[in-house]
Amino acid sequence: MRMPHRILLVEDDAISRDALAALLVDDGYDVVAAPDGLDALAAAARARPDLVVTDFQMPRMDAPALVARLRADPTTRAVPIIALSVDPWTAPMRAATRADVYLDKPLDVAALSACIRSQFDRRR
Amino acid sequence: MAHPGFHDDVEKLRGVMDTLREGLQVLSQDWRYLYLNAAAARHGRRRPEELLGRTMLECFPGIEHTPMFARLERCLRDQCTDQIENEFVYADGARAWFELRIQPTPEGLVVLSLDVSERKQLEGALRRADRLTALGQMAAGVAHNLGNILNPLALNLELIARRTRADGSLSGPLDAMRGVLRHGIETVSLLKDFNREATISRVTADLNAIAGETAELCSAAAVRRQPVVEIHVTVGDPPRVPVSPGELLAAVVNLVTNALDALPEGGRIDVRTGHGSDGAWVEVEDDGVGMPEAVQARAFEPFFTTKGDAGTGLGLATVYALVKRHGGEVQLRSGVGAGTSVRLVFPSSAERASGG
Ligand SMILES: Nc1ncnc2c1ncn2[C@@H]1O[C@H](COP(=O)(O)OP(=O)(O)O)[C@@H](O)[C@H]1O
Ligand SMILES: [Mg+2]
Repeated sequence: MRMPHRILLVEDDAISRDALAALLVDDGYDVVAAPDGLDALAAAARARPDLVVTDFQMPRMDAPALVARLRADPTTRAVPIIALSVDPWTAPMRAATRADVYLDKPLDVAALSACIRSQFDRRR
Repeated sequence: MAHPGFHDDVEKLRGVMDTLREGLQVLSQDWRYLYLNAAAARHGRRRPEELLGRTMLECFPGIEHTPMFARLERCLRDQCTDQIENEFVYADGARAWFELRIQPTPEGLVVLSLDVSERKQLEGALRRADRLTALGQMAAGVAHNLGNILNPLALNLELIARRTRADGSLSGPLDAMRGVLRHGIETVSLLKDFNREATISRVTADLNAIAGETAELCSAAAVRRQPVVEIHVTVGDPPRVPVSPGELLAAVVNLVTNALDALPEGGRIDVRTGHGSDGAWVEVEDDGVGMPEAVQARAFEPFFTTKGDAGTGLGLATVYALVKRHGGEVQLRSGVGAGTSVRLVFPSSAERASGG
């Protein structure tokens, strides 16, 4: 049997984080969750995720800083990153974040699931 | 005091007075016009001979009830000077703003008047623009907070829906909640739009194509109306504009929707395009109910609606935001019973297009 893909979920709102983690688990993924960028970095080093879903605005370390660190580390450089934001994704925000995919919050769960599947399909 | 030669030359002096932009009038103690220069008569929209020798109350019935008249009375009674800005309403309903300087003289009063309508209009426009900017910022703040509230709701609702799929009795209520939530999310996204930053887009839109598509999309709704509403398209030769066609189409459809709402008795809607010195434009005109001034002043504010629960008040606000984001102008002309036209003017993309 193939190991399930592991997703690192970074979101500071606990209620959203728990619900989304449960949904991703139901989708068959292995989920590691973190409340901000700093914890996410530690989790990434430990758990070696295959994909990262991260909120844009978080205390301590936001998405642009987290992505920059992940991209700078050879072990996480190629991991696809999906970034979420409640504010509209402006060009400067995208340029600062450099994620692979940008989605809006409130999140459309079906759209996220499709997006995750296509990222994994692409990199198989 | 005058230079010799000018001295005592009343005619010459009168000529000079009549070239002034400022109106000058001398009133007797019983409000009779003793002297008026040309500008003062113009400000009253009367010929001097219609006014001279008659009283202000005879010439402008009702003036004795205006705040301006109270100020004149006070100057006469207390022998003091005053300066006021006053909106004058003519018999036909037209309006103009005047700055008035009042001063007592042995005869009665001297009143200097300056037409400041243009400045007043500009101030009004600036105040409206400021208010819209402030409201836009507030809208973005509300959208942010509301988005953060709806997100965990949406996720947990999805989770509950998936995990209770086996229980058929829950699918109705869950679908109902989904519907309500979707409505909330759509409202939030409209609010976000209102304050979105300018994006330098490389896509351009063909206003004529947009006008045609709008008519196509709306004609079904128009012919369903009883009495029927006709939509006419008249296109000019405007250059392409650097706006996303989808967003622009939504904006023009919005204007036609408003026009349809303004035609409960049926009528005609014109969608036109063209271009002038300030850019390419598309406009929607209806011969419907029109807007009173108070509605015109607030029509572009988010959530301002006169349609009660049937309106969102976000139509014109999003149209305005889209046009402003592209450096354009929205020109509104409307009158009660006289219909409404809304023109969206975009600075031409010619320079940008030729620059690559
Ligand atoms: N073509 C029109 N004719 C008359 N009134 C209009 C027209 N367009 C807009 N209005 C007025 O402006 C208000 C705001 O319009 P809008 O922002 O589109 O919100 P809504 O249509 O949801 O009320 C309307 O409620 C209406 O009073
Ligand atoms: Mg509307």
